Amino acid sequence: MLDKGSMRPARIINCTKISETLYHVEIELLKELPFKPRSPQFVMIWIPGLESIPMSIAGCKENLIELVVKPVGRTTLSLVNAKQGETIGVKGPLGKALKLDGSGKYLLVAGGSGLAPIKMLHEELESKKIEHTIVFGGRSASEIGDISGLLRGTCSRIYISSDDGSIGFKGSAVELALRLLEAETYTKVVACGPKPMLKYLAKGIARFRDVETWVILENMVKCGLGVCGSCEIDGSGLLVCRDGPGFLLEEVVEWLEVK
Amino acid sequence: MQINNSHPNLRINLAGIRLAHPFMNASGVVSSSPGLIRRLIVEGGCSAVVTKSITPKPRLGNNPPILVKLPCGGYINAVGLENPGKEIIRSIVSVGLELGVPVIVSVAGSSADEYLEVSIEAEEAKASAVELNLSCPHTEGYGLVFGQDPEATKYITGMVSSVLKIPVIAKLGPSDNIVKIAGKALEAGAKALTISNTIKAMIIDVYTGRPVLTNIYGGLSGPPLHPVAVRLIYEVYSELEPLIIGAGGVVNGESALEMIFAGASAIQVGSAIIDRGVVVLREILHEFEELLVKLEISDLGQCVGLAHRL
Ligand SMILES: Cc1cc2nc3c(=O)[nH]c(=O)nc-3n(C[C@H](O)[C@H](O)[C@H](O)COP(=O)(O)OP(=O)(O)OC[C@H]3O[C@@H](n4cnc5c(N)ncnc54)[C@H](O)[C@@H]3O)c2cc1C
Ligand SMILES: Cc1cc2nc3c(=O)[nH]c(=O)nc-3n(C[C@H](O)[C@H](O)[C@H](O)COP(=O)(O)O)c2cc1C
Ligand code: FES
Repeated sequence: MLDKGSMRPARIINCTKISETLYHVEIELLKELPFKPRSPQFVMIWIPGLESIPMSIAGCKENLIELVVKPVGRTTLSLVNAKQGETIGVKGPLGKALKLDGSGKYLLVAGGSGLAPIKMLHEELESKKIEHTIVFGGRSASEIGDISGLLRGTCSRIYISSDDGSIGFKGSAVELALRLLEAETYTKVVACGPKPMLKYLAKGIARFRDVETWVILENMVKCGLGVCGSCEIDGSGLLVCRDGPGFLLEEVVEWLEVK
Repeated sequence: MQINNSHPNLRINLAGIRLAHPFMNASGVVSSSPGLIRRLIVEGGCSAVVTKSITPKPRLGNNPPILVKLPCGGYINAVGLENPGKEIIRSIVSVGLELGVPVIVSVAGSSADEYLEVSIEAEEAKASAVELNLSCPHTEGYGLVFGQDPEATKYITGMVSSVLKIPVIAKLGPSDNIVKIAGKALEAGAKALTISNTIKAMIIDVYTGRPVLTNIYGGLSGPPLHPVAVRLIYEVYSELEPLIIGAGGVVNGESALEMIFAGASAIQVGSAIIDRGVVVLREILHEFEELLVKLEISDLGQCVGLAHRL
């Protein structure tokens, strides 16, 4: 029997550019996943001949998985340039799902490819009719592209920020999120994006004591199954691939502050 | 055997190392850093911990895919001896010293001198023993080339044993020559043998026609390895009766006891941790204890190698 650690055959069926830096990739699994994935679980995508790399699951319906990919190197580039129908391998779902409370109000903050798990979480909150706000930030309008088209819903609002002010709020996604926290009451914050963004959030959010904050982290994931130690958050014994990739901010705040 | 419904005596003396029970982790599975070793002790309740195999200098290992679950159960891995180098040994051993649990440092190298260099560091750091990995099947020039060769096994084991005061354990892999290799390791001063490492193996993806592991070859572990490991232990015990630590596909009390009956005195668990987390060690220990009670075995020592005596 195939389980989450097995390699499943899959086919790339579609890839659309959604902004200057992000692509929406749809994958059809030829063998179904062992269980329904939940945010921020991820898969290891194997491009035969190249490597296998971790990618958050941005959406999942039956045998279709969605990814949001920011090409940064060999494997991510070949993923977004793959031909329709190209066969790849998928291992997963890996990592732990976030526990969702049935009530409360969520603030989701995303930057760059951090949009992937946030999109998935947004869809879960929508299906449970839990109210939430999404903040997505980039450097400029071209980095924002058609993000809103990916995030439709009835229980959510979407705010956009850009560093240069060419679209939405002028400033970072974190600055905007902190303003929202001052103006409204949220019970949970979930953030995913580059490490400097999460570090900045950790600093700014310290004064909102009643808010439970989760951060979704990236680190060098190799085995994806909690064995090799490659993704350990320095010295803590916490593994991004098995204990995460979502962590309570308190658990990882020291690591975020280094460098 | 006596009827005894109280706790059986699980204590063992492994070449002078006192263990509260026979279960420890297998090298390479959540064992590459102080934080992970702490989890094996605190969450897993290991009676001793074995580190990832350590080489003198840090090694990066292979590119993923490095670990895949097989449809038949079990895993194939080609981690490639990724490790932080000997500098990590002191901080890992100090976790064991703090928590009162023996640390066995697994040692790998590309020459006898490298095995010796890391072993000396382990002894100086106050490790309880070293385990020489003479059997890694997926890293060119390391381990397997020595472990399949009786003379190389003797040379490396002898070189390390003659210098170290702490016990030297030789970890061997599957081989048709296992009795001869085991004999050479013991002759050269090994106080115990760990049997078995993984078997060199590979998988090919039929949808693309390509080998799945970037390294092409890997090591097979988990339940498919178990009957092979039981055979290796049985053969070696029947000829030499050495102190053996059994490893290979132990997933519950029964698969552990099978290894004890074949001749093992202690047990390492690897792949089951990948499936069920480090708590699996506590679960297996619990099942093992219950099984001994059911079989009316009051003292573990009595049943080491039992299958040879019936
Ligand atoms: C849990 C998790 C979820 C992720 N989700 C997404 C996602 O949804 N969308 C997305 O675009 N990216 C995601 N990433 C990051 C993505 O995995 C890396 O960008 C990718 O591995 C780079 O590979 P490459 O060959 O293209 O680039 P390379 O040239 O190999 O490397 C470029 C940079 O990517 C990072 N990287 C390389 N290999 C890995 C690896 N095995 N694990 C983690 N980081 C690596 C390194 O920091 C490196 O500097 C995620 C990472 C993790 C850990
Ligand atoms: C991911 C992984 C990494 C391993 N790394 C090492 C290692 O560094 N050194 C070593 O001696 N054995 C290593 N092994 C082999 C195990 O220690 C053990 O001998 C083998 O897996 C059989 O036990 P199991 O079936 O319980 O997994 C590794 C095994 C796995 C699955
Ligand atoms: S990637 Fe191997 S432990 Fe997380």
